Amino acid sequence: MSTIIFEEVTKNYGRVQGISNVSLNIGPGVTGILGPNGAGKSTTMKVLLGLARPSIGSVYVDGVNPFDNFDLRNKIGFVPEYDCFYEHMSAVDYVSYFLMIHDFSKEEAVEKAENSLIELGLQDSMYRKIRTYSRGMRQKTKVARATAFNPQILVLDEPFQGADPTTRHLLMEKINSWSEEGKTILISSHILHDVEYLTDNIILINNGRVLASGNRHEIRKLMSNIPIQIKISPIDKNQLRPLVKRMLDEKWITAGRLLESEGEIILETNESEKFYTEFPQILEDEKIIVEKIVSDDDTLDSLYSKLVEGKQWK
Amino acid sequence: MIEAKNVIKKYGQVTALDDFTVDIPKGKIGILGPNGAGKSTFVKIALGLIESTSGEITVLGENLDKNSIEIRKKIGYMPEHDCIPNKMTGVEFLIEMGQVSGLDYQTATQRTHEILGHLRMGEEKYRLIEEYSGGMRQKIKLAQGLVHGPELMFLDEPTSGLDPNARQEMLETINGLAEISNTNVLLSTHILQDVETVCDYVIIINNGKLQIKENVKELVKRQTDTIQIRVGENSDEFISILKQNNNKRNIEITDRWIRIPYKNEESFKEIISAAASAKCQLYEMERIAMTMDNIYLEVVN
Amino acid sequence: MKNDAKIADKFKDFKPNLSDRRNIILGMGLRGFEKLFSLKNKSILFLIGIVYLWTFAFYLLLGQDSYPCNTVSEELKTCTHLNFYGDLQYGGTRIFLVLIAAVASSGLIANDLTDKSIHLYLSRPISRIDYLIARIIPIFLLMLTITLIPNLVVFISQFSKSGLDVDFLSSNMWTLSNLILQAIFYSISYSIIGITFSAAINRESLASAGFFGTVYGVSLIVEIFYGLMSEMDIENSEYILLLSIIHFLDIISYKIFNVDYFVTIFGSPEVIEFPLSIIIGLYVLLFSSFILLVNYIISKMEVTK
Repeated sequence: MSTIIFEEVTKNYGRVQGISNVSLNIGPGVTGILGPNGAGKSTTMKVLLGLARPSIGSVYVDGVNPFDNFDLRNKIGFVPEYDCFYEHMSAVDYVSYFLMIHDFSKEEAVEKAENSLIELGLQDSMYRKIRTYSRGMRQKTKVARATAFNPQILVLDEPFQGADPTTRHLLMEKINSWSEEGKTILISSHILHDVEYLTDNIILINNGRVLASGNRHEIRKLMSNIPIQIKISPIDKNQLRPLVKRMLDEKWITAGRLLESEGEIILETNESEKFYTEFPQILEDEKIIVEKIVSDDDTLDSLYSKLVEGKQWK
Repeated sequence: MIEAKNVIKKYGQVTALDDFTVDIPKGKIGILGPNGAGKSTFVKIALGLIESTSGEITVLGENLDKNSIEIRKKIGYMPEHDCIPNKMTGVEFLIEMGQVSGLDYQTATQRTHEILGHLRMGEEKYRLIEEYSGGMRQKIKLAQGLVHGPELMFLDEPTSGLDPNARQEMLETINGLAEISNTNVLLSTHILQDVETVCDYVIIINNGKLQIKENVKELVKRQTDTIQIRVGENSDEFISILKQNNNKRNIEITDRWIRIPYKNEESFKEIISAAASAKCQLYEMERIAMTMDNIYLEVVN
Repeated sequence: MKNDAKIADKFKDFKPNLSDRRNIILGMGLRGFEKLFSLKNKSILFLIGIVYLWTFAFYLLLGQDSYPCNTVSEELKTCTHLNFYGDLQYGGTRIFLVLIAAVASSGLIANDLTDKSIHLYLSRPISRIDYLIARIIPIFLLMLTITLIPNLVVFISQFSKSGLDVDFLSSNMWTLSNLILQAIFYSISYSIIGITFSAAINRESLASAGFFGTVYGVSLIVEIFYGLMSEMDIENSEYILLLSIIHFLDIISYKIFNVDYFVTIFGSPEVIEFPLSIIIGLYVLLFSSFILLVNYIISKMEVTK
């Protein structure tokens, strides 16, 4: 079980800002790191990997500073965003070459490399030159290189970029199973849907600052100045109107909308906890059965755009 | 919009399209398929950039054998890879592209600024393209395909590498295009979510053959037989009540959600009353809908 | 005004009037020429300036009787432009012609290939050959400005020297048309060579260096070798001259004026004869293979990307 702790870390590159005053506590499981281009995601990763020394503050990975603890690098696997191959090598050569740097003997390295590549479904092409690989195969090779030595911490920068859906699915399944093994995984992706599928834990960075971190549902609850909208759809569509009327009697419902064509109502509330607790009882009392209670508000898409636009402060 | 009949395309020994037949309706169409499945080959044949080995293809009602160059007046193409010159300003480049498509200088200029306005490009349009961000380059790439007002637009991975906001903006523009200015869109992508949000129809190509052609709205309306729930405090009590009611059925529990099989409307009632008596918050309850991911994996694998 | 309130649609239907291929190609070509000629291309403008200066100097030279041309042929008009293109011996504009062709043509296709925008051009309503023609036009026009116009200037100066005699015009009709033909011939040939280098070496600077090195460098080497071989009295040594594009083009251009071809090595001009069929055949073969090569390079790009 590995933990990553950032204590008020600032990293500047000369006069250019990398990240500013970042405090984080990342535990086992998958954590998604999100933000616009140039927000500081890659800098965060670099500092964590020990590739860059924080200008202010300190970082601890398993209790030690990654910048001058080279042993730590046997515990961290990193998948960079950009291709970093020796194109003339085969995937097996490439992965085992890096394993040998991690101090495995040649035989061991080749064996581990092959196993790892087979696990990722590259058994048919792993002896071919990397030059001939498609984007998806390249991503898999990068992931194999980062995971073949079984590191406890995985840092993945845009691992799904350019991969076709099958590769994407396979990588996600692998990431899920590594997470279940108790690895600490930090993953960045521009496809929020992918992150949402993998995890509820996110870190959202913009302009070098951490705007929010933690469970996305909890983050949404903390943004109490924006009323939550909840979509409800009763099975019996004749109950749409009575249901809205009934709900508007409660003083914690601030607005109700009827979407007749879609067979849904939308309720707005500032006291979402109260709503979620009392709503089942009200349905019981009114003998109304609903087939859907969802809030589009705490999807990652909506959360992301609200936070990046700064709506939580207005 | 596009009709292909028994199209075969071979590159030496490799068969990229193998007896490919499809009738693509008007609207916004998504093309999916693994790498090397024949997607881009099909798009290039339909554009008239390469010739098929055999077979017949009709685009916007015109047979491609006779008219492969004239047809491009009605077609816009946005390639996947970066392919715009660095040493020109955005406006210069788009005007040039407009003129190469056959617009006169004044119309090309007017049209360029109109499109860049839609794409929300500000004063940076007068700067050199080499200074542009990834999102801006992508916009220029889209704009060059639109500048001559095509009836049909081919988009190859238009959102790859964009951050979430830029991606959202790109998808909205594509949607707007099709709905308001009657441009038909053919979207080839690896991000299935994009197809779900933008397209009316989806076709999946694998091994050079058409696998399915379906209406997207119908596809994702299909529901699975699983209800996903998310609850708050007292979840233990809630689960134990549910388990009593569902002793014969299996309930999947993770720390993110609970999934129980859907039998009939009673299933919802059971959940609601369990939540009511356990006094626990019912954050979410919904039958899981089919997603493009499920359908894609089902078809391709 | 009450009823005049309006909200514009976000997108407007755009039904353009698109012109045909010919106009597109011509437009592309002219815009390319404009760009080559623009103030941004200081090196090209500088070279053009030199060519015109040389023309002026040549005009002054003509006024004097010491012009070496007389030794070759009795017809002054015919030989003047030959020497005007000239050898290094007398200092001709040829080195500048080759230099301008190399510098100006190198970017035409190479830039489109490097930034891959060629894909965008080829997805427009023009064919691959149309695109090539559109890219050749700028360099062709540029070459005309430095081959045809200086020659015309010389011709007109001769005309005015003759006291604007109409008889001068009628007796030199053929010279004038040959002059135009020769200029077009040089321009088109150098344009095609330039486009070939631009497409084959898809980096602008390398392409221009390659052009100049191959065309001019080879011509110097060939000339030296020819000099050595003819010193040693090796038979048929003149065929080595065909290896140099410059000499090859000169041979044809002399033919246009129906003058014996001569090379001036080590001071003394030597007249060389080649059978016409070989020359024409070789020219057609060489330049059609250039065009085919460029076409092949571009078609290859389309398939892979």
